[in-house]
Amino acid sequence: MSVLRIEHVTKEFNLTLRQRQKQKTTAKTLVAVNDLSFEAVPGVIYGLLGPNGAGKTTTLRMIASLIKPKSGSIYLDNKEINEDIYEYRKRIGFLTSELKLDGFFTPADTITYMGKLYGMNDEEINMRKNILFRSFGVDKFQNTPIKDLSTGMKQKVSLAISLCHDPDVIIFDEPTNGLDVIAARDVEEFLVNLKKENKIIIISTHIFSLVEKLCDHVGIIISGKLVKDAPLKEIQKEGTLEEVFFKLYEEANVNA
Amino acid sequence: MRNVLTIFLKELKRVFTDRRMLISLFLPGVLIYFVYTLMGTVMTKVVTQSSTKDTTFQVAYTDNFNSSKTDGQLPKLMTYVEATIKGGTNNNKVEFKEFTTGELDSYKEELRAGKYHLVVSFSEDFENKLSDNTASNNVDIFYNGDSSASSDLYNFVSQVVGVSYTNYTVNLNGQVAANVGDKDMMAMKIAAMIIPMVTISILFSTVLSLCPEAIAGEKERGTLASLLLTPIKRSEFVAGKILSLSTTAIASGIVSFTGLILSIPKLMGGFNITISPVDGILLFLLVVTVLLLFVAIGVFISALANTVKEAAGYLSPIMIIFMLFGMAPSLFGFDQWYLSFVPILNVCVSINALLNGAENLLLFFGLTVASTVLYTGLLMFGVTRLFNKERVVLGQ
Repeated sequence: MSVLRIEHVTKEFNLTLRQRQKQKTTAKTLVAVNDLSFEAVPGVIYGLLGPNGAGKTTTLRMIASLIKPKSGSIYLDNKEINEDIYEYRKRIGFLTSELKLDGFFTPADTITYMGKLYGMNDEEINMRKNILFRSFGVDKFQNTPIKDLSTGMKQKVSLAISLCHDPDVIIFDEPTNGLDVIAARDVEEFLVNLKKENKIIIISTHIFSLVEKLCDHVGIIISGKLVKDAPLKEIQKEGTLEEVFFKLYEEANVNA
Repeated sequence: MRNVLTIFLKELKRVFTDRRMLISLFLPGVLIYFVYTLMGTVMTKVVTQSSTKDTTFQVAYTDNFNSSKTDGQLPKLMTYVEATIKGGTNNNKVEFKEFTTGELDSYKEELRAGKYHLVVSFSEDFENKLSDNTASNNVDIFYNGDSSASSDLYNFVSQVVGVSYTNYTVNLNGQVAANVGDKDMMAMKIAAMIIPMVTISILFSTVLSLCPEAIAGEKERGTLASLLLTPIKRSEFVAGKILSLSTTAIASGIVSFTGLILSIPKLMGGFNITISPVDGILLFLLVVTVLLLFVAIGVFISALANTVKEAAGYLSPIMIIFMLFGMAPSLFGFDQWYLSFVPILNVCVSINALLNGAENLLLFFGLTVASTVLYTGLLMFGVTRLFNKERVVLGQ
């Protein structure tokens, strides 16, 4: 069984003078993620819950291999991802509600382009395009320039394109951020379907209801540290997710 | 290689199917030709327009012609002058008087006194020399700068007739005031000073249209991160981008440069510009190499910037500095070989020297091309290195 394992990952960013002035700090670096470890397994949606600036997006970007951790390692199937980063990237799908596509091109152009970059041949690209565009309802608009599509349709196109290579691991940063209720429901249904396909799914959010609705396992991250890593049902034995979160948040602030 | 090709083709499609982009890249070259031609036509008309009316011009010339000319027959230049004046709309006439070379000084005195409007001194056997192209230093045309009629006639002779001679003016003090030299050669010298600066500005304008969008635009739109998540090497991404930008910039740059070269003679009053095939190839090589360097600079800046506006903001002052380099070649010579290592300036000096028909340019030219290619390579390597920096990739 495939397992995505994050082991003692730490990430620091250098602060520019302007950033230091803005954050009123003299520290030259900011620890965005501090010694973070967890595991994600297929058929389980792992929810990374935390306030803004807690390190959720940084963690997901490291998992997606967009940035490298200062220390610690990430493993997929017990293989450190940097051993063959290009092969690893073929198995990762990084989705974000903020993913923008070049409005000049059509969805069909874009999926063909991205498919080629993922090393797929024309037949594979066409097959995935048909499946994804039909399931997202994009097929009618596949030859319309993206700039002419509605916001909801753009979002669906972006999801379809992020999945063109049929990745094993789906990383979704703030899945419903900025979406209207209908588009948000579509995304939720889509994640449930992916879970049924036995994909490894990690989402990051600060919305409690979304975690309660979708996730099987929850990691609570505060100031770059993972302060809770447990199945949702276990957490809910201690109280509501919101109560547990704020209790941990206050403890973290006291200790800081 | 497949990934480089995929990015290259996508970028080309992006440019060549975008009407606005095509207009901004290729229209300036076409416009340069028409605007400069129009400006040149208007300026020439203003310069050559005569205000003298109802005048009978008096022209005296030496009778040093070949033996075939019979008495009373006008030399060829005088025939042109007569035809031009009679064909004009100002109701002017012309009368000619022949004199011998020994009488030149006294005729110059009479020119100053206002008896003549033009005194022309041909050398011995002038027309035979004219036929074998050695006549340019064998005719002196004197006019009285204090007489508008004399000046107008001089303008007719020198600009309307359009034959190249060495020309002198004589003022009231009887001194030779100016040697304006061979008209085409002088115009070429002026063109050789202008062309490098205009070339640099139009070529860099191409880069200014293309490069900010190429990387900073991708960052601004958020599409760069999704591309870098695919299993392509960052060096492949950079290579694909630079290859497509270079192809587009070269296509656009060649159109603009051709428009410039064709229009400069018209701008300067219709002189003859002659570029040999070899010089043409060398100029093409210079344009291509400097464009590659500009693209590398543009991509480097675009990679450092977070937005298209920021990239354009950095590139605009760079263009002004490079334009100053374009004005500098007249201050330097290509014999100063170390200048061939000064980027941009070396290209401007080479263009200037090529247009001036300089000889023994090969060493300077070779070093210029080699150093420009080297700087381009270094910048491209730098861009690839930049893409390993998270701050650059994420635009933070």
